Amino acid sequence: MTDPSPIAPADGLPEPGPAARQPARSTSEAVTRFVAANFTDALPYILVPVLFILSVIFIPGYFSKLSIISLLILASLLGLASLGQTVTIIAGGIDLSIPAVIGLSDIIVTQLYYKHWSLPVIFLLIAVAAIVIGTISAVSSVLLHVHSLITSFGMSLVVSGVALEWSNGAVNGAVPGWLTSSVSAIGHTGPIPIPAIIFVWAVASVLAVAFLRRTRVGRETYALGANPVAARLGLVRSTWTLVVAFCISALCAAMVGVFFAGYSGIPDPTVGEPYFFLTITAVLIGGTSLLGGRGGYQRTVMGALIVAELTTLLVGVGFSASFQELALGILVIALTSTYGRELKVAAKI
Amino acid sequence: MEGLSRSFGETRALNAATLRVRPSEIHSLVGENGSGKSTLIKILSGVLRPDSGTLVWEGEARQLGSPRSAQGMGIATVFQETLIVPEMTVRDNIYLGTDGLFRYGHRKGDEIAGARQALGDLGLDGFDLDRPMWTLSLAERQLTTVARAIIRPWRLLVLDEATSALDAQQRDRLFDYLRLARSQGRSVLFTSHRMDEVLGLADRITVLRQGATVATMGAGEASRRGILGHMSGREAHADPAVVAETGPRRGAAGQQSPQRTVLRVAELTLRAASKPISVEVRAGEILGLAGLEGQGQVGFVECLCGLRRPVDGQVLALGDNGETHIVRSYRGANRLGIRYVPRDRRYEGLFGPLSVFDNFAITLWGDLNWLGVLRRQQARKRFADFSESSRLVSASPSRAISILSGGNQQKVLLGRWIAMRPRVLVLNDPLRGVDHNTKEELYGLFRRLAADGVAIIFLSTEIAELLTLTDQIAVFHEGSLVAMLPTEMSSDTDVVAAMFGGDRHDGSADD
Amino acid sequence: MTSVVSDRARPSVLSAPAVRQILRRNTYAAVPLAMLIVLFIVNAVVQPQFLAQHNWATSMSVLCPTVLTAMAMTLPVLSGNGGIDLSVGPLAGFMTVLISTILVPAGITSPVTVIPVVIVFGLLSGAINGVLVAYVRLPAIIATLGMYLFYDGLGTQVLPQAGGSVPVWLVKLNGSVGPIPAVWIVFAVIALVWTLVSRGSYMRNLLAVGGDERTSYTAGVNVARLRLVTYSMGGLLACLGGLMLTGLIQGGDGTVGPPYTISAITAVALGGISLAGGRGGLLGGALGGGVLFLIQELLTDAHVSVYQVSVVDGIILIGALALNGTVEYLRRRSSASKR
Repeated sequence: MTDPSPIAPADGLPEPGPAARQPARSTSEAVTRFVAANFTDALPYILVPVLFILSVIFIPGYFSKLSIISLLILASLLGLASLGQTVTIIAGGIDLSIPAVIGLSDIIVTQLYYKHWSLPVIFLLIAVAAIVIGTISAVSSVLLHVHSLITSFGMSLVVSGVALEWSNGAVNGAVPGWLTSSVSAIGHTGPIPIPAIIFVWAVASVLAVAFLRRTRVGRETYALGANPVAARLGLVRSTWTLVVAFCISALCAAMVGVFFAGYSGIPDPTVGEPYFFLTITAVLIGGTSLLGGRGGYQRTVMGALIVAELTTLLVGVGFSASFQELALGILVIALTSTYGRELKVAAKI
Repeated sequence: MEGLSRSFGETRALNAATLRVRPSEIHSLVGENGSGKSTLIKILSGVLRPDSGTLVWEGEARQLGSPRSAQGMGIATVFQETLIVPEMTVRDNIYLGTDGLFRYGHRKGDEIAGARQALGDLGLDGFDLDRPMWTLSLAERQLTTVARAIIRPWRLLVLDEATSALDAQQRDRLFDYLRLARSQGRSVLFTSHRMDEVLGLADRITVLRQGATVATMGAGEASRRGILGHMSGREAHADPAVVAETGPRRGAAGQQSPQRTVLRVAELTLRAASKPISVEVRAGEILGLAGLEGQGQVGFVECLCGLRRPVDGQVLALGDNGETHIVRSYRGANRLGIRYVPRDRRYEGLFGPLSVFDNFAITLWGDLNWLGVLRRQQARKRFADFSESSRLVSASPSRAISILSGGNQQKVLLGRWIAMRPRVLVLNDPLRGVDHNTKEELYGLFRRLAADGVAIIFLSTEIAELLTLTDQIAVFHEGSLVAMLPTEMSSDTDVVAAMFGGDRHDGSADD
Repeated sequence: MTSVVSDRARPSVLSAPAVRQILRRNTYAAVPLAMLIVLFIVNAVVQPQFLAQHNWATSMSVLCPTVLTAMAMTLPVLSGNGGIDLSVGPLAGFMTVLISTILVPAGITSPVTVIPVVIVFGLLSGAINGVLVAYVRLPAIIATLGMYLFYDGLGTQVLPQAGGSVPVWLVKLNGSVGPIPAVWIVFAVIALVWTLVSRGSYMRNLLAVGGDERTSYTAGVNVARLRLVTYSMGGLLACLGGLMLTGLIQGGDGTVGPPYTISAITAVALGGISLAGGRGGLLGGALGGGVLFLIQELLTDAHVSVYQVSVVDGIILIGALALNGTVEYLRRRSSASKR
């Protein structure tokens, strides 16, 4: 029985348990075995420092506080946007509406602040909009028996249309000063000379990892992604879990939109567009599988850092945005070839 | 096949296993789960390649690169899992794989004739070849996969548990076909968990244990006890059939003061044409469900646990104070303490990528949480308790569940529900495909649960199992309950007779 | 069924079973076909000039790349196991760049040389996707995502905005030959080739692999090779779409590609094709592309703002998939076998 899903159902489980398990014959064999089994798992963790070292070598002046902080800001934005994506992917879905929500949130903040709305109200409005969007993506996926890739994609068309319509012709926008400072390389958080967004990301990361590991909804997310049929029978609250995943995704995207507004200060509904694929890339490079039911946010953190480092490295060495995209394409393929390969058909029998 | 070895990563699935099949022979391959049977068959059918060893076919050493090359040599395989393409027609399913990439292998007229012939040989006469496969019953699908194997010119037919979905009639028809093929000089290799099939059909038997061939014998020298002994490596002392004859029956030991009813089935109608069913299940009782395939026992089970709405009638759960609650939904049933263990662990039970502990605890988190945060300590304790009482063998609960053997996986899945303190435990063929030793351990577990007051509803396709374990056996036929047999006083033949819908003694009983 | 009474077989009797078989194979296309007809009528009513000849030819040539990329997406989707080809858009876009800035300046301008280059490039790039999916066994969405980024980056690197020159015959191909839009000739050729292909066992094998790859493998189908061929054909169709696109925009432009990926996905969904594979056909992709085009025409006629079009597109997409998904779900439900 297969789900109507464009992403392969996660039942590629080889019939397990041959009787005899050979013990390692020596410590060196045990070590080799351990390394081989875990190498592909560890690759993202290795790449982060490796890329950093490469950047230091190839880019003069890289090892400075300013450029490291710029790197971290880039990674924070991507990492926050990818937080929700990680959860939805683990749940067995995917959220393609993230760029649209970023754009909408950017518009709302810049426009309404310009019209002197109070900030708490603006944030509340954004949060409510995000929750509505996420809920619709999730619920329509369940009700219509259609993969969330499609429903979130449809929502993204609707949301970006709304954002574009709203911003039509508007060139004026404003944001509070502290917001700009929070994403600026020379920004401060209180007395500490590090922009707030990095702290926000750090806190969010800890919460995300704890959420996935230590809460009921978190474990049910893994179960849902691993085997939706067994999840229903196992008393997992499937619909609620998916709604939570998509709401988290939309809220994170909204947060990133607010930060982007701080970045530029003008309303730009298209500001999230590069994130259409970048969030998926960060998640995949980190090693979380699109199949669902496996992975974790700590991996996406690594993935976001890797993507940020790569972008910086390529720009620093003088490659244009187009070339970066090209290189990213090759990289996605190369990396996934090492740790993201599917089973042979024969092995699935 | 001689001296075949095959390893999976660190584990050695086959250790210099040997198998020899002669022409005009029906050969049976037996072994517990984990003995290497499936691996051997996969090698023979071209799905897997051995690490070492040789395959000698008709005097020549050969290499099988793919299922297609095996078929080319004349080896046709029917796999354990019923493999069909649901959207395509019967004819397409039968002739699948016989073509080149762009050109058909047979003309349409030939395909129709060939398919009719094959299905006819297997007992499905006058079958509409243009029906989509998803409209067929499980037995019909299984027979279609057999038809797929036999339309190619074959010399060796490999059947891996190919009778699992067939009822006794269909099975006998298949066996007749096999015997006919044997008389024509062809050979059959089959595996089965059912000893009566093995002893009744095979000319020679090979036993595998832990990846190695431990015995090969002619049918004449073989005995149930002997085979089981080879399979487990020790004296078979708990052969279900033996216990059924000489061991303690449930009735004798379990007879105490009458317990109160915990579950009442009131005038339950499964299908439009079936008779209403009324049953009372008491605390501590083990009720068995039997019947030929598709006769309603699975539908009954689904109504009990709320997965299906009956055409008419109700299922009622009775509380401690006598209050009654109607079972209206799956979750509702669970709230009433009715726990259901599904049949197909791969699709309905296991979370493949998750750990053993996660698989166990998934149902517990609903209760064991504080504001959403997990109470892992308590869950770990319940896991430890269950591991002990079921003698679960597992390196560590945080390892992936995929490394456990089938039997141990089933234990974890049972534990998921047992740890929730069920009042009624509904089991849908839970020990299918589980090896002998694990079965014994689980029989013990079920008996202890019943002694503690849990009512158990146990659906099984193995009559011997029902005779060992249950107090009563409810036999289904055509969606109705046709007999309620007290286990103590019933035999194999009684059950089979009831399965055929009455008191007919048509002598087609098992062994 | 048919009696063999006389040797003079009546043609109508002989063709009836064959026609019935074609109809049965294409039942999935019923809904998109109905939608197409309805939309066509609505468009003609709302905008009478819709049917005027010069508009007709323009409409057809705008429609052409959409339909071709939709067809290019259809085949990988049908092959199952999460099959999809995100690279169709940027690949088509890159074709415009290739022709206008590499081939033409190098003197390769005649149809006899350009078309084979396009065909070969299409097959090769499709084959790369096929190898990645079938042999390296990357999930299709990742492999084709990588290629999407590759071609988009390459295209925008070489030609970040419109430029380059295009051979005259290619522009003419987007015009009319007498009363008939030349594009129809292209469609006719493709339809002819495809009819020949689908008479063989390819479609049966493709739908089987898409329906259940394990069954197909054990039955003896070479699943990997089939997928390789499928993605190659998809690449070919995408590049043909790029060829026509070059004529349409009369030049090259590295940025025009990506929207075609999105429209291709929508068209496949609208075309009654199952996204899980195993159900549908090439006709569905073409019909879906047509439906999408007519919807967009309708919106333009109604003077809906560009942004609102986006909103409506989204709603239509969800609606189409809802229809698609519910139909499948209902059929699955009714198929629960006897217990």
